[in-house]
Amino acid sequence: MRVYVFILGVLATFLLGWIGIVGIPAAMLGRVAGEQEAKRYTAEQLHGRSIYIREGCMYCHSQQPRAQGFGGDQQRLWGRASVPADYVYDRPHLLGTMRTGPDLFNIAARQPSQVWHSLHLFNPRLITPGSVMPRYPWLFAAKFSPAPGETPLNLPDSLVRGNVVVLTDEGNDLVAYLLSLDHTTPILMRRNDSTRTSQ
Amino acid sequence: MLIVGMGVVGGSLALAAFLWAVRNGQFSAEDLHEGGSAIFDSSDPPDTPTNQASARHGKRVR
Amino acid sequence: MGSVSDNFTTPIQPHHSSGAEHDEQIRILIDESVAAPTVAYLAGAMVWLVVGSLFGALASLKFNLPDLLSSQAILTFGRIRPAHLNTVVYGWVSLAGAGVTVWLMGRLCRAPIQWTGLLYASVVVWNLGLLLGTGLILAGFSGGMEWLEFPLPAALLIATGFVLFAVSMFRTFMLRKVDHIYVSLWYILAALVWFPPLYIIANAGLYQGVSEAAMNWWFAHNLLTVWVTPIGLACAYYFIPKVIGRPIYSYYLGLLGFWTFALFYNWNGLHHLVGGPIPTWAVSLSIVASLLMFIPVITVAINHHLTAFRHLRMVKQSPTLRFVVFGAMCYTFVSVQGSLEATRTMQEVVHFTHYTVAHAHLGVYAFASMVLFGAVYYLMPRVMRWEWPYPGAIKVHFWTTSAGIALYFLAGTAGGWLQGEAMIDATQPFMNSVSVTLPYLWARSAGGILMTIGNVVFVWQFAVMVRRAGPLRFTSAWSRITSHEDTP
Repeated sequence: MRVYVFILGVLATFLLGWIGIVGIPAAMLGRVAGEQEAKRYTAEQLHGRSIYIREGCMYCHSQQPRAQGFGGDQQRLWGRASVPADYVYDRPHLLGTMRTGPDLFNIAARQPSQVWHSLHLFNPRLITPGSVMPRYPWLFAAKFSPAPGETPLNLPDSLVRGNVVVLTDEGNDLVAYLLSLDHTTPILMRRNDSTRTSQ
Repeated sequence: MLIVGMGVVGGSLALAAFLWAVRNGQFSAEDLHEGGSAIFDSSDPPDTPTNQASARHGKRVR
Repeated sequence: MGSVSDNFTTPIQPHHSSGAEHDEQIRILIDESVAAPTVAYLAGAMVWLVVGSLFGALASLKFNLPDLLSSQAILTFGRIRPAHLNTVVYGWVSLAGAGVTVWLMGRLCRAPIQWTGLLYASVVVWNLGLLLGTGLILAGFSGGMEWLEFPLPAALLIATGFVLFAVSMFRTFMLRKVDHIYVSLWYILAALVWFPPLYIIANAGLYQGVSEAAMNWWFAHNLLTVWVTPIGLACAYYFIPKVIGRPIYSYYLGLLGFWTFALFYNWNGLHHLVGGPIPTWAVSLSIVASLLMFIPVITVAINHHLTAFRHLRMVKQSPTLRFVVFGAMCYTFVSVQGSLEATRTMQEVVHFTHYTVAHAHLGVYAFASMVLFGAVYYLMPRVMRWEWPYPGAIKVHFWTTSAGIALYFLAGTAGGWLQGEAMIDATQPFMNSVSVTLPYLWARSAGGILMTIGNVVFVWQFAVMVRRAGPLRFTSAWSRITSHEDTP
């Protein structure tokens, strides 16, 4: 008899924890909606997001600027503190837990140039000496001449030896995703009874 | 301060529940006093270290 | 509560009323019944230990050598890192934990293992899941959440492997021949009950956005709560008193420790999201629960360390005790560190840094893995009926792994702290937080390489044991290490 009591007790402790830190918060957050909501991702940006996941970018980059007074995120101009409404279309979430590199939640506001992102992904050390970020040559293709609409990377001739280097479709989509990461405008959060803006 | 308060309340509730369980006989006295010896028996009695392998008989086992 | 069912050819007497020889016979017979499935789990664990260590070493080196093996997608840091995490956690630690649990169940229930066919099926399915999952991650298919990167097909295989294992263990428990359920068994039973719902909920795709983030970190921390830590504690509670020959210091404290562990540890998960877009009250709950963990951790510390400190000579002499006591002490240390690390004061500095990574390795390697090493050193001679043939190798294993994890931890902690300080100081360019870590990351890689060497030595010894190779020995590795011929 006592074994069943034991098992019930053990299951209860598990369930209580889940209810407390997942069940109830999720139920409450489910009722948060944005009015000027987070923008939905385009198909191109979604594909780029899946490449971000595939290459494990989140293992070095977070996407959750912290509030004023907690860490230096605001002074670093990483953007306003993020709120749940910012992430409603994120699946899976990419909040991240490491900042080997900077927070990317508003990278498009800091670096709006596709040229910058292309060069940076090709080899981060071309732009930031001392960077430890990996390079992603497989997101690029070397060809004799660019197709219409393709912008060759501005690389030293010693690297390319007469060819041009352009982003592949995947590379383009990843850059499109990175350029969608701009949450600097405030989000009007709506709940059942009151409206509240984020900072 | 709130966190400390929550901690004290939570911890006290847990402790109270535990003490209730003990006093209401959820755990028998012999469990508490002899439970620790459950891993010993007459061939591995207490006070005998057991880092010996069962091959202490010295047979080569293939 | 004692069972009278008889699945055994010889009639069993209750253990407290028979002679010493009878008890020994039963123990040897049970160790035999458990041998094959135990070794099957451990063999898989050994393979993943080596594979996982190599992934880890490579991932670490890429911080200081970012262009190392950087032209192939399959070897990019962003794939090697999750490959490392998943193979060491779901491969090495989990398979070794399962194998040791199978052996422990035999001992703690004093009954033969039931339905061993399920265990063999489990070993196959589980390893297939690991192979598939790792391959998929390297090929670029990831679930996208930390600790949950294995895509669904691989996760299903692992879940199945675990459930098969749990069913066999429960059946064995139901047919136990002991009157008393020892404390290690509480932790094991809890793990068997907790893991399947945890893993299934986490892989069920119930949420998105920040709700999913909360679920993610509830899961990742709870994997330690429901699986890694209970198995480590079950081992420490068994091997420390068993090798020394004295019961643990206070069984009552053990009881208190178990229930406060179960009650508080399940709430810790959101301490991974301090400062993030999660409701503050929920994060505060997790911080409180993290601090309340002092209660179970102190009770466990009293029980393990007081029992061991009275017999320090034995700890030095016994390979099992060296590893298990080292692990148990690191459990206390990593838990105290973790409780303090969860506070907002600490999190402001160390969140997002190598400090947290070092803390994680202290828990999974310095505690769980070292305890599992000790358990394997104890049980293998008993299931193979062959002594560890190379005591020198045991020494090498111990010193490389302990020095390795110490170096890893100190380097990661110091480097991570400096990283955090630089990061929150916005007058410093962000790159300062990177460059300040570089020498520490070299040291960390050196620690990781030492650990890898030690792991390989251990796996080699295991392979030797399985084949019963090497010099025949009549005395245990204990006496050879200390060259006391008269040690019992």
